[in-house]
Amino acid sequence: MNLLSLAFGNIYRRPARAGLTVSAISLGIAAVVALTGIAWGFEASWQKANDARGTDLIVTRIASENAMPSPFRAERVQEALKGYPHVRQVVGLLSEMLSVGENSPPVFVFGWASGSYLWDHLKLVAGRWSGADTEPVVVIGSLAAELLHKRVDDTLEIEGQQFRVAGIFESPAVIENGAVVMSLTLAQQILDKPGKVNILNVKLDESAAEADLAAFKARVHDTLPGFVAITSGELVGKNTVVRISKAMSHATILIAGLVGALVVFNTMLMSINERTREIGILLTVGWQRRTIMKLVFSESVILTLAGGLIGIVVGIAITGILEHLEVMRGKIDAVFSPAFLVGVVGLCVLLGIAGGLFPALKAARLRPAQALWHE
Amino acid sequence: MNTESFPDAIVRARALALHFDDGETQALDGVDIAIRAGEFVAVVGPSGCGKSSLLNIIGTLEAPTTGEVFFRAQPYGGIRDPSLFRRQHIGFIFQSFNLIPTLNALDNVVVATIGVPGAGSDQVARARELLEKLGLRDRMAHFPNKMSGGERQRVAIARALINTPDLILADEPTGSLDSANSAAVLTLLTDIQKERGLTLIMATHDPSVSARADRIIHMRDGKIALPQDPAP
Ligand SMILES: Nc1ncnc2c1ncn2[C@@H]1O[C@H](COP(=O)(O)OP(=O)(O)OP(=O)(O)O)[C@@H](O)[C@H]1O
Ligand SMILES: [Mg+2]
Repeated sequence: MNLLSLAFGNIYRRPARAGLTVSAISLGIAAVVALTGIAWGFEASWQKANDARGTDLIVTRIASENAMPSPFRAERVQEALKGYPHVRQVVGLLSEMLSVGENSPPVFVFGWASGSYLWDHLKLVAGRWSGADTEPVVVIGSLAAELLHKRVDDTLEIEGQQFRVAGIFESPAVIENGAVVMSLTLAQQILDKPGKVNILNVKLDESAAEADLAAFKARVHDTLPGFVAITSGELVGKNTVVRISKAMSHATILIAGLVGALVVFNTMLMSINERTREIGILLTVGWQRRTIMKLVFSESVILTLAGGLIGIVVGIAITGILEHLEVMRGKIDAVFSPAFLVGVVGLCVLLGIAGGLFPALKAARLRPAQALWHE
Repeated sequence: MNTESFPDAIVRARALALHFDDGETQALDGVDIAIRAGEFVAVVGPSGCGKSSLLNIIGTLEAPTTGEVFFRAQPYGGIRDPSLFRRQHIGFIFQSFNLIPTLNALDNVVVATIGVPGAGSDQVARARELLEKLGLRDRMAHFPNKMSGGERQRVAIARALINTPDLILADEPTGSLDSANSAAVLTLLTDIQKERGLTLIMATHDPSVSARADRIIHMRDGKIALPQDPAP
């Protein structure tokens, strides 16, 4: 027997109470894990979509903080950018989340300039690419094909117009896999935004270095008022949806932390009060006050760690279920980084110490003669 | 009593007073004692006369309101960590056993060694040895509620001895036992005390117990009384 087995034994004495405490903590931690995984996944999958295209810089309007920057007239800016050093391509992109057909979940519809490098990273798995700029056809990601129950040569109704599915592709980014892609011209037409794009994707040549990126950004800032050149990571960081989901995850961490610490505090305080006499015995036989505190902290940390580990498993499971709901598929790709999970475990240890602090001090300050006669 | 009379005293107390409720209750009221190392001293007196109070102060479970206590030459006021002092020097035995109900006999003994630097499997071996010596070979895995009073008190004795104390403070150790068990426990305790040269201070009501002590200290109303004082 040692301190740890004694701590386990003390918890096991009140299985119902310990179970309730662990459940409360694990629920909070599950919420933290799910929301944070989704928030980070959100950010990561947008960035992945941008990165997969091989875009070096994105030029868009300064004030744009929506899920996608709001559309602007591209022509003048596009022409200016083409004259910058190292620039290989400047390509417009228009996108919108739209309902496609009656009973289908909304999907992302992307319009990409025909013949641009944006298409290069997609892998065609069935059918063909669209031909002429104005031909009423689309290509769809493999996940979109599954969600919309569409195959090559089926038709899709988007904003009241019929489109034929020319091909089905695979992309490394889940957002693109769940999307419908058409030519930019077609997208501008059906969205009634002629000549407009949400962002301009800039591809530089291989010789461009970090300093050239910086020079590019500075030049946009100086010569194109109202516009910014940013990396895809910076764009995603400005994304309102990403920001809101991160704020929610932070709020959940705060609430779950407070509730967890309070629950442990309450449980440990009850436990200490019940065991006053026993603590008197331990003090009498020579336990030092710090050993008493260690015992109380061991018990409170065992409770929070158990809750935390269960919470992590439940949180990941919940996220897995969410990802497979029809409305969510192709829009989130939750990320549980090892660092985050270690952080959650660390948070649980902290909760145990915070919640156990007052009970531990109370136990350690008991006067043995009084505690021994406590009933 | 002249406290200077024993140069080899292990415990010496001077003008001890212990007050409760802002001085309304005087549990101890000017007690001077000296206990010789290796002595078995019985503390007797009517209920409420202050026997437990005296033992608690000697055991550092309670601090005196006024007065001084010395362990060998060390004043109690200079003890920095009373818990550590108790573990190094003092074993306690109580009338109500004070075992931990959720631990079996062996663990009730081993628990006193938790937190001792270097404690480990040898402590478990020592605990077994002690319990065997006290006749509890077959009771090691028993929980307190499955043991008789005599068995429980023997577990408590083993716990008091596990950290090799110099001084045993026993507060009516036979108070909850019938006469047969009482005699058996007392014999075990005094045998170990003599064998190891321990000092034993025992509060008791039982004349047959105090009769076996080397010396009897009589108390009345929080003071040391003369033996010939009539009991109330
Ligand atoms: N915590 C306390 N608060 C108030 N009064 C106390 C406290 N502890 C002891 N006393 C009082 O101090 C006096 C001495 O008590 P103590 O327990 O030392 O007597 P005792 O000789 O051990 O008695 P008994 O033989 O019944 O065990 C009693 O009057 C008791 O009521
Ligand atoms: Mg008493």
